Order: sequence, then structure tokens, then C-alpha cells
Amino acid sequence: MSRPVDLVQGTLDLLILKMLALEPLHGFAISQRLKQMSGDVLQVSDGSLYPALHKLEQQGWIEAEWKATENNRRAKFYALTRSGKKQLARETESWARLAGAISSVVALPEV
Amino acid sequence: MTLDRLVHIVRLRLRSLFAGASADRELDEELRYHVERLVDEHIARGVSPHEARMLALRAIGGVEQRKEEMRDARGVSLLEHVVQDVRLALRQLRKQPAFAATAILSLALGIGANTAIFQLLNALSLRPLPVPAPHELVELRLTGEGRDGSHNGRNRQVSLPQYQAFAERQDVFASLFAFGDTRYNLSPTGEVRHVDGVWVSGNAFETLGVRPLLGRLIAPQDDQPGCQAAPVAVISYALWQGEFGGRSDIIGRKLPSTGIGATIIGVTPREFFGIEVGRQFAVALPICASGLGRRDHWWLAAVGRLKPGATTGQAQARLQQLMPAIQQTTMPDYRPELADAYLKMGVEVVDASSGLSPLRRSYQRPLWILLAISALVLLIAAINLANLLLARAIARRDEFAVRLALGGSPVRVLQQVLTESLVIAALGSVAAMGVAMAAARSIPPLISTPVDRIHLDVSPDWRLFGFTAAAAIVTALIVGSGPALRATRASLRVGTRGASANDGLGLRRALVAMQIAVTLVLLFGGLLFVRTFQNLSAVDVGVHGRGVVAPVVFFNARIYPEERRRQAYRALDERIFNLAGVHSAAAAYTTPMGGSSWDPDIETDRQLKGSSNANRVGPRYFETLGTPFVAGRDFTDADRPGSPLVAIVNRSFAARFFDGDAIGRRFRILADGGGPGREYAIVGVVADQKYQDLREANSLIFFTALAQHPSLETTRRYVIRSAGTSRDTIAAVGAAVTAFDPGLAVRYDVLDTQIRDGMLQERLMARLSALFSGVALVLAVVGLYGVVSYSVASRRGEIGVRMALGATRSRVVRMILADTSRMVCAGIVAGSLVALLAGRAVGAMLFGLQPNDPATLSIAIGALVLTALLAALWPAQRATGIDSVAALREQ
Repeated sequence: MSRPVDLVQGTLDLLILKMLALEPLHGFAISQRLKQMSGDVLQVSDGSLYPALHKLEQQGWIEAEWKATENNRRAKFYALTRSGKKQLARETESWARLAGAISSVVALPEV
Repeated sequence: MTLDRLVHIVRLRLRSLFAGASADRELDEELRYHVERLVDEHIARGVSPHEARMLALRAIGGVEQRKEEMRDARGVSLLEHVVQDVRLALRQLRKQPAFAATAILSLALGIGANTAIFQLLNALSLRPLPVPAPHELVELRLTGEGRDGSHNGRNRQVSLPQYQAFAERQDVFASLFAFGDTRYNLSPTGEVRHVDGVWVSGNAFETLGVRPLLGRLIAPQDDQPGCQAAPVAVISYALWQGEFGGRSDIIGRKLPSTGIGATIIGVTPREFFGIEVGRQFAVALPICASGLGRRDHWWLAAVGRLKPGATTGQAQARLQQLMPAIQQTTMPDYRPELADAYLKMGVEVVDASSGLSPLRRSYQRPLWILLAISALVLLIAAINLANLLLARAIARRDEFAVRLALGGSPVRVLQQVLTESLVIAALGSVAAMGVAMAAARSIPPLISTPVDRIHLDVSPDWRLFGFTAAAAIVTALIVGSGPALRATRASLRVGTRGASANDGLGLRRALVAMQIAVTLVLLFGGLLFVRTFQNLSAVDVGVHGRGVVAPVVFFNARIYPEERRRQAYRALDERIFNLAGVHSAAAAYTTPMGGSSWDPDIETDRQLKGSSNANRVGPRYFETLGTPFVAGRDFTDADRPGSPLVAIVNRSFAARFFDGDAIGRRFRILADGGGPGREYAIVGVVADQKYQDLREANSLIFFTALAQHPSLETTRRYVIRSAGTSRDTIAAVGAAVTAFDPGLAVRYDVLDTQIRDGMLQERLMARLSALFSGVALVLAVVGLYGVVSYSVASRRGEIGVRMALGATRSRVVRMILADTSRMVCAGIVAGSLVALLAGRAVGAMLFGLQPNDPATLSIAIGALVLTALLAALWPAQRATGIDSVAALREQ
């Protein structure tokens, strides 16, 4: 298996926002979901997830609530706010631009 | 950023700041949940519980680091760190109460002295008058020499006719009012009790926008010609409280007085002290009641309120246009040359938002200088603390190095060190406010005399708090700079185990040299002011004032019309001259430094010679004052109205106009404004006297016989030299006056006191600058002592080796002293240069010595070197007590 890809600076935020756009999740679930959804290609260290979450919360893009989990323990669930949705749209768009630009450069025929 | 997002963010940050502990608990819980889930997963895969836990924690990568990162992400770390640092600083201060007390006390005194001086400056020059829209107020000042006649009052600019002409013709002010200062005697009989009074035009209170606290204030209808019969009066809050117990039935009552029986119509609010800063008016009367309307009587100030939008420049230009017409219509009966000058006078419009103040002229500069001096004292105190904190920073260098090595950011370390000095400065400045309040209140009495009571509103305002805060912050930066430099340098050499014992001593030495330099500047300045005061005290006034009492008896012109007064003077003279114990007594118009002046123009051989100071005195005046005759004779009772007019002149007068040979020569005193005047024959020459100012040199004075003067004063002044104390003399005079007429009021001046009162400003400067430089010297010596002691302690091993190798005690002492001398010398060289420059700034305030006086500088240097060496000698002596063996064993 190839080495997990290092996340491009700032893309972790985008991934978290995207995930939370689907449903509110707690930190552990987010890290699990990231691994599953990217087929273990994207590996976010469990440690760096939380500072990112707190930063997003400070920005007002996500909000947190303590709720019971599926196995009846208390965990902090994060959900997207309204301004978070807008931010997601913005970041998605700029990601698409960036990805498109990079792919077109990479796709240039080599002579 | 939308508003609700902003609100959300602020709420979150505040929550995490104020609920730091609970936010931390949440973090804990959140991380714990994550770790537990990981552990569960690992166990499910068959890993042993212990190993599962290890794996989970490793995945998180250090719980504490994560927590710190999350705190950073919360964005409150700066604030939170400040709170932490303040707590830490307070804890450290509590652990070292002696250090804390020294630090806080020295800053309290240092900042307190600065705040006190600033408070006085603020009250004197910066604070606006407590009236609505003070910035609209301006004062008219006439320019040019052209006001011949009589002058009265501290704020005199215009005559009453001039003010009226300005008020009538001007169109730049919403209104223009006039006021003149006076003294008001509250005690109709016995010893006078003078309070400050003001004459005001009818529109004064209205223009200022002052509202009555009680009753009503003087209005235009109160200021009409003929009001002398039944004048009204407004009193101040202070007088109302002090004299009338704040009773509300005061309105309609009569003010006690010998002259004007004015009816009280109102009381001004508490904060309104008048228009003159430095004074507190007690009684305000309408100008019409003064009876002073002559064209050649200069006694009023004119203050206007600009129309909205008008500038002082516009007002001045407009008034200047009106000036010729105003001068034309208000000119006194002048002879041609005076008339010419009068017509050429100009007018200036100056800002009066912070009131008028002759006091400002004499004290603004001294106060700025005192502020500079106290700032330097504070600097020395701050350097001492910087040195102390530096010593502690050096002691903590291992801690700093470890923190930096463990990844603590230098900024964070710096922040902590600076916070500590800020906390000290903040505590110091709180205490300083108390010091300042007490100190600022103690100064006005020092520059007051019984007659001239100085009142300054020193209540705190935003300027004062701003100043104190600024002083505290600057101090904190100075105090913290040394240790901060030291602390961050620890980062450059992680693992300071091997650092030399002299660590930081270079910086500390430089700081001490700086202290020595500043102290020298202060010592030099203090000595300059002390010597100025000494020189001034030693000035020969030309009289021997010791034991001479100068009572002034006030006669009411209505009860004592001129002829009756003349008789009364004769009878009173008789009683006073024959009092038991009186050696010598005389009547006189004024006395040296007595406050009244007369300076008419004189003519010899039909040629105008300019003006001379003048006095009119009775026989034995010179004998009483101890002024010797150079030639000729004293006045006698034979020099009476109708006999030939005679005069006595002083030596300078004789030298100037008659080449020293004045007896028998004649001169003419020109009447005010014009007229032929009267011619006098000189019958005597006396030694020089000072007239009004101790600093004047060779002032010209002539004396005429009091009995021959064409007009008769309403006051009779005496000079009395007697065998008893001045108190005995005052009691005897009081009894004699009461026996003559119990309805007379008397003021008792004491000649010596009057002369000394001419040196109040110099005395204040001498006392305060001496006090400040003394404090500076003590602080600098303490600083030097600390550094030398520290250096001896850190060179213990070296000294031990030297002594083991045979160095004698005196050699060790010399070595330490040589080390000290280097610091002191560097400081003295730098200090001398600055002192000489600083001397120039105060040159105008000195008397009898130059601002670069070498003797004074030598004394200052000598005193400083001596105390510095004494301060170093003690630790140097201690160095010789070092036990070589023990010291070497420690190495």
C-alpha cells in the first residue's frame, strides 16, 4: 500500500465541513469516516483533528453540542451552521478551481 | 463578517476566558471519549487492554500538547496568558514581601511625585474653566506702550471707558465682559480679613454661562451708574459655606464691610472659582460700585465669548480695525508724546479657555522643570528596580533556558517578564495617586502668603489618570527591559550551566553608570536652585527689616472725609509714635516689596528724563528702616503743605541724573498724563534700596514728604521698629487704633516676611529640587551598593584565589574600588555634559550665578563621588573577609 497522502494545507477544513454537511458527527466518528470515505488514502492524525474542529467552531462555521452517542455515551457532536454552509460552498468552489488547474497542468503532454 | 457571527465568536471567547476551567474540562472529556473509542476498537481487534491504551494515546500524540493547541485554536491564549502571568507575578511578589514593598514604595514615590507636579500643571495651565464651551472664551490684550496713569490688579489690560468702547463697537463676540480683581475686607473693625474679590460687568456671569446655586447672579441691570448707593453682591460657594454656614436665608443679607454695604443676591456653584486660575474669588460686585471709571486707570481684563464659528484670528483682525476709533474716544488727557503712543496701541485676542492667570507666568516654567526633575528621579528608581529584577532574571536563567529549550516561545517568556514589571508599576501607580493627592495639595500653601492665597483645583480628571497610566507604562517598560533582554538571551545559549558567574553584570554596570549620570544632573540642578535662593536671601535690600512691623489702617472715606481724615492721621500718628517700646516709627505710602508702586515721569531742566520709582514718607522713615543717609538731611515736621517742596533721592537716582551731586538740585514730577507737575528740591541722598523686586539692580527711587503730597490716601501705613517682638508691637498698635476709633480696620505686615515673600518661587524650586536630588542620590547609592555587592559575591572565587596567592586586603579593596570608579567616572562624564546642557534651560531662573557655574558642578561631582565610594567601600571591605579556603572549595 502506498504511503497515505499528506493533506494539502487547508483541505482538512474542507473535508470536515463536507462531512458535517451530511450529518452532525462527533470527533471520533469524523476521523473514522475520513478513513473510510477516502479508502484509507487520506490519513488525518487523530491529534490534529481536534484543533481543526475547535478552530472551525471559533470561526462560527460549525457548532457543538453534547449528545448521547449510538452506544449511549456522551460525546460532543459538531454540526454545520448557516455560515458554515456558505463557507463550504466557497471552499468547494476554490478547491474545484485549484484541482482543475493542477490536473490540467499535470495532464499536459510531455514532449 | 455578519453580526450574529461576531456575537457568537465573542461569546465563545469570553466563555472560554471566564470559564477557562470548565472549557478545559470539556476538552478533557472530548479527548477522553476519542481515546476510549480507539481503545475499544483495538481491544475488539484482539490487542491487550494495556497495549490498546498505549496505541490510542500515541495516535492522539500527547494529550497535553493537543490541549494547548486547542486552547490556541480557541484564540484566547493571549488574554489567558496575561491572566496567568499576572497571577504568577502577584504570587512572586507575595513570596518576596521585602522586594515587593521596596519596589512598590519607590515607584509610588517616583510616580507620585510626577503625578503631583503634573496635577499642579494641569490645574494651572491645562484644565479648562468649569463653564460651558470654554474654548469660545478669549481675552483681549493691548499691545504697545501707551498706558500712563494708575495701574491696579493682576489682570489689568484696559480702562473702564476702553472696555465700554470695545463692548459697544465689537461685532465678533456673542458678548464681551470685564472683570477686575480686588481684595474684600470681611471684618469691618479690628484686624482686617481680606478675601479675593472681583468687580464684574453686568454680563459676566451670563457670558460665562454660570448658573446660580442659590438666588440669582449679577445681571446687566445690576451694573448701572449710581449703583454705589445700594450695590448687590454674589458670593462663592466657599464663602457661603465658610462664612455663612451654607444657610439658605443668606439672600438679601448685607455683606459686612467698612466701605460697601452690598446686599447678597446669590451664590455661585461649588466648582466655579472665578476667571483667574490660582485664585478663588469670594465676593463678586458689579463694576459700577467700584467708582473707578477714569480714562487713565488700568485695572480691567476684557474677556469675550466668540460667536459660534468665529476664530481668534478673525476677532483680532476685526478688533484691530476698530482700535483707532476706540483709542481716539477713550484717550486720557495726555501730553502729545503719550497721546501718540496711546493712539498707536494694538490689540491681540488670545485663548482664555483655561482662564486667565498671572500665576501661570511665574510658575508654569518652574513646574515644567520640576516635572522634568521628578521624571529623572523616577528614571533612577526604575533603573534600580530594573537592576533588582535583572538579578532575579539571572537567578532564574536556568528556568528560562529550560523553558526555551522545551519549546516555550521567547515571546511568551518576554511577555511574562514584562507582565511582572507592569504589575509592579500598576501597584506602584495606585499608591502613587494617594501620594500625589497629598503632595499636590501641599504645594499651593507653600507659594501663598497671608494676602495672596493661592487656590488651585487639583481634583483628579482624565488628564491626570492618563498621565499616571502613561508614567506607569513607561516605567514598566524601563523596569522590564533589563530582565527581558536577559531572559530572551537565554535562548541563544540553551543549557546555561556553564555560563559565567558575571552573567549580566555588564548590563547592570551600564545601568548604574546611567544612574550616576542622571543623579549628577539632578544634584547640579538642585544646587543651582539652592544657591539661587541663597544668593537672593543674601541680597542687600537696603533696609534692616528685622523686627519692623508695617501696619496699614483703613479709613472709610464716607465716615472720614478728607479734612477729618487729615486730622485723624495726625492724632493716630501721635498715638503710634509714642507707644511704649517703640524705638522709631514713621508713616509712609509704601514699603520695600510692599506691593504698592508709584513710578511717575520726571523732568530736570525742562527735559523729560523718564520714570523713576517713588515713595512718599514721613520723618524718621529711613531711621526706622535702618537705611543710612549718604548726604543731606531727613524730612522734618517743618516739611509741611505750604513750605518749599522737598525730596530725598537714593544713590542711584543721584548718580543717574546729577552725577552723584544731588543736594540742592531740583526735578519736576510730571502729573499723570500731562500737566506741569510740581518741582522738588533735593535735600538728602540715601543708600540704595530695592523697590519691588529682589532681583532688580540699582533701581532709581526718590522720596517726597508725605505731608506735602497733594492728595490724601484712605489708608495710613506705618513702619515701626520697637524693642519688643513683632507680636508685642502688633498688639500695642491694635490697642492704640481701637482706642482711637474701634470702627477702624488694620492689616499688619511684617517687613521681613514681605521681603521673604518675594522669594516664594525660588524657595519652592530650592526646596523641591533639593528634596528630589537628595532622593536621587539615595536611590543611586542604593543601586550602586547593590551592584558592587553582587559583583563581589559573584567574584568570590576569584578573590579567594587572589588572596590565596598573596594579594593583600588593601589590594582587594583597591581592586573593587577601581571597578566602582570606572562606573562612577563613566557616569560623571556623561552626567556633566548633560548637566551643562540642562543648566542652560534653567538659566533665566537663576540669580547670582551662571548656569554653567564650575564651582557648583565641582561640588555636585565631589558629593557624588564621595557618597559613591562610601557605598562601594562596605561591600569592598566585606570582600576582604572572604575565606580563601572556603571560597576555593566552593569552586
